[in-house]
Amino acid sequence: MNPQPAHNFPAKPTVLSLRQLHLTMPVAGQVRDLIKGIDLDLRAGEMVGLVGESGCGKSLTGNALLGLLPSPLASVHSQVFVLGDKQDLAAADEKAWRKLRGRHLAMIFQEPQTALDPVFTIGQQMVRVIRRHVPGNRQHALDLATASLADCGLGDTARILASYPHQLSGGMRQRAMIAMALSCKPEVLIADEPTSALDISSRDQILTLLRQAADRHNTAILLISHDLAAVARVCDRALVMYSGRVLESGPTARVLNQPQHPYTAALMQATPRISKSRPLAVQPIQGRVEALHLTLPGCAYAARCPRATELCSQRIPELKVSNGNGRAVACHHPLPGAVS
Amino acid sequence: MNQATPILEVRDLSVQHTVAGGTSHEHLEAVRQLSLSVAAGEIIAVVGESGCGKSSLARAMVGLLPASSGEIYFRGAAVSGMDARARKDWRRDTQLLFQDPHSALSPRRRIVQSLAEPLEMLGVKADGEQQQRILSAIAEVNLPIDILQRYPHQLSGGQKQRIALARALLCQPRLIIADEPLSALDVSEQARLLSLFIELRKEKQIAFVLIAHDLAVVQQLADRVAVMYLGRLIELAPADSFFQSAAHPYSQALLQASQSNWHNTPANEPVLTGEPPSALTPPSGCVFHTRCAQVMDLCNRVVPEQQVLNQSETARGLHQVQCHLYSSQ
Amino acid sequence: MTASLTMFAQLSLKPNSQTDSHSVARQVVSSRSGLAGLLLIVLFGLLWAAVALGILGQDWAQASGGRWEPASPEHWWGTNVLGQDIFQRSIYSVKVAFEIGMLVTISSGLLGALAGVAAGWHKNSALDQAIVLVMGILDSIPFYLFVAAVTFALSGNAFAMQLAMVACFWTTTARLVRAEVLRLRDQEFVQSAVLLGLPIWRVLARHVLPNTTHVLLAQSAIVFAAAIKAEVILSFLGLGVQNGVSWGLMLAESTQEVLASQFNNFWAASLPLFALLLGFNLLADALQSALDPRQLPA
Repeated sequence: MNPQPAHNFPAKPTVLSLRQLHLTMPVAGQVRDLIKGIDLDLRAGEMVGLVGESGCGKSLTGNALLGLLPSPLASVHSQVFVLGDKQDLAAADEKAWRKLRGRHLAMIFQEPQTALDPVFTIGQQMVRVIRRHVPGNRQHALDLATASLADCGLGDTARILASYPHQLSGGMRQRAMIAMALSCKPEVLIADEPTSALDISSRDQILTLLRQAADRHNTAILLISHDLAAVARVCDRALVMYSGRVLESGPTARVLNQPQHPYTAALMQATPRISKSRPLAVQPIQGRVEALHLTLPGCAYAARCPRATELCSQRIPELKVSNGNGRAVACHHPLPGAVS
Repeated sequence: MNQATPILEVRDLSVQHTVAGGTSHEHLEAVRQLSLSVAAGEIIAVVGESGCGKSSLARAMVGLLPASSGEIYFRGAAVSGMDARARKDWRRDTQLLFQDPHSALSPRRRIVQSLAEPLEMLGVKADGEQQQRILSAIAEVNLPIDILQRYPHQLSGGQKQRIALARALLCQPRLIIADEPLSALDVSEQARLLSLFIELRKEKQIAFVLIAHDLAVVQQLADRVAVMYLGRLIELAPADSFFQSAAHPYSQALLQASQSNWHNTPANEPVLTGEPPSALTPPSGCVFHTRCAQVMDLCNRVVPEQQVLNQSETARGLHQVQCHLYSSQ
Repeated sequence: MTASLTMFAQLSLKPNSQTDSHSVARQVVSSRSGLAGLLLIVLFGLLWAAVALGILGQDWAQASGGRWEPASPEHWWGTNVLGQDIFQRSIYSVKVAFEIGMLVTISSGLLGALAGVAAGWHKNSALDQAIVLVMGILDSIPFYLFVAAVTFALSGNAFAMQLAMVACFWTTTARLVRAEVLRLRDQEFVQSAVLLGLPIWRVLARHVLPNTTHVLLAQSAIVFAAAIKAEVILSFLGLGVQNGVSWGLMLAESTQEVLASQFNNFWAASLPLFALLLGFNLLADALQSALDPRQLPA
């Protein structure tokens, strides 16, 4: 994947790279492969969108990156390099994770209501997180918290710091959550459906905020979302997941506007888009998503794919670099990728 | 279509909630003096941020919430003056579809039991006819019949939402009021339900009031768009006219916020800053003036009147807006 | 269409409550602890029936032997200070315990469910406030003081103890049911039932109450156990069973006897008490997980 001059991220260092992530879990008594080998690189200041329907394994991938999986149940095999240091996901113990989390890797969730502790004020929670990772006294931590809140567009910082989570609106809670995640200046932020529970105006504000964090602080952000419009709005690159595998990846605008994988094309046709004149009618995707734990001999999308041939149900297509635009696709019969 | 009596009309409707605040009770005006009419087979979308009163409007339209003032007319007859029989007709012909498919079906009852209930209420008691009606409703929403003996927890969100729709269809309604029916669903389920709505309107002339916040979805469906802010209807326009030239600054901001940059480089500024003020203490004058980019002196003093934008009435009605920017016209 | 119709006929349209209760029973039996609990309860149930039908334990009052005889083929668990057969007395106590438990559980359950549903459905109404007030007053009176007062007030009435227990136990049930109804009331399936125009009692009976069964069931097991335990303590204090025998009275007797190394009364009362309570708890747990709609078989 040669970086192309056409994109704005030529020489940025890779802060996190994931090689062949496999995740197994017992389902109905049998150990099943849920995530079937994912490669992922996050560069500093880059926003990458991980998209797919519910049940495709995108949230599992995000949680695995932070070690947030029930450890005796799930087993993870992968090599992860955080800031160039090799981190063995399978072997890392809770202590090693705690060192990484918050300081270098941070995460925000769909529902900040449940991610924030209701009995502590925002200020107390932020100071606690900051003091765990950054040397300095309480006042220093409070200053950092104030700065981080202001950075996230929460003007009345004194009031926010003294507020309990339920005293804030949904949009403000999500901002406070992001401020908390960014307060220790982590290199990587994983955002799992951060806007799905929000209104359009709040959604727009949160997306802009994440983009600003990437641009100003060089944070690498993985945006996990089923909302293609959100990914299109802010992400540099997009990865399309289906049934525990990546089907297509590349620069967002190209992947979404000139998809090479039939699944990406189908997703786009199912997504309504605003236009000044009468819009194109949406096309539902045929069939249903198979359970994540099923291991098929061929492409998991074949049963729903209009381009499927016999080959598709027999051999799993590899994710191959396609035409030198930083794009890759896992399909036996890819689309030309030039149709709009 | 314009000559006929509207299926449902609300005139100067207000809905109040009582909020227990410490020692005293405060009144929150969720819907304020709102007028809107729904013609047969028409799809009206009501859009706005959470807390703008759109769900209260939906619940008032079916009688789940009482109107504190104003009147609701069903087929031209005032609901408040109705006898029991006419009220029953209104209840049957106007169905409500909820947002959360997971709580829309009783968890202890099989799907078939949930579907048989409205039929019992309609007096369809014979097994044969119940079967027939349930079968055709299930077929209408494109679900397999083996789903009937399942429990809600065995279904996906989209399937549950389609069952809820099938249950509404069993009453053979003339109007379905759908409160955010798509926002909890995945893209593909969303698309499936969208095309189902379009089909139902085309084949059965069912009218819809679609409560939504996603304008991209609204454009797929709506004939007319109504924009609410803090309980007031601030713009009402035929869909074409709305998406081409939304008039109210708030509508313009909503439109811009939901237009993703499918082709361009990422955007860097949010269109709408801040959040709506509390509905307990709405701003004076125009309710939107605290967030409006084009605010004038007048705006915080005088409540703007309803203005009709295009004098000539189009097939789909007038473009109306409540904003001082258009007062001079 | 015809093909689908025949398939449909096989599915049957009628609410199929028979299969539902079958599958619940199957699930209870298939869990080991549930089966054990069920067997224990069935065993006690048979004993109760035998006593009630006059087959077993009829000679509990007769002094058929000498004082403190050890276990023998004639007196399986020995005799007490008056020469009465301890085994007979213990068996007869099954009936006493069962009847007190059943009566208190069913009455306080009904009262609690009714009050809870009424208060929850009409939240903040005068009725709700009145019910909550009464519950508050009852809960603030110490239990044994209350029972003593009721017993004295109704002196001589055989049901004074049961009445006092019901008066104390229904409040917890009512609170739990009220909270559950408050949650259910705003659920969309309940609102759609209201919108369909179903009479309120039918909405409650069909959509609200069935979704509180897990609460009622767990609470019933707790109340049943509490009633039997309370009976033991009250009888021990002389406030309980007046003319008869019960595990509580036997335990009261045994307090003096254990000092003289006579343990027959003690074991004969506490072992069956323990077994019955255990059986109830195991069954209640198994039933609760079987009745959870998310655990119904796919």
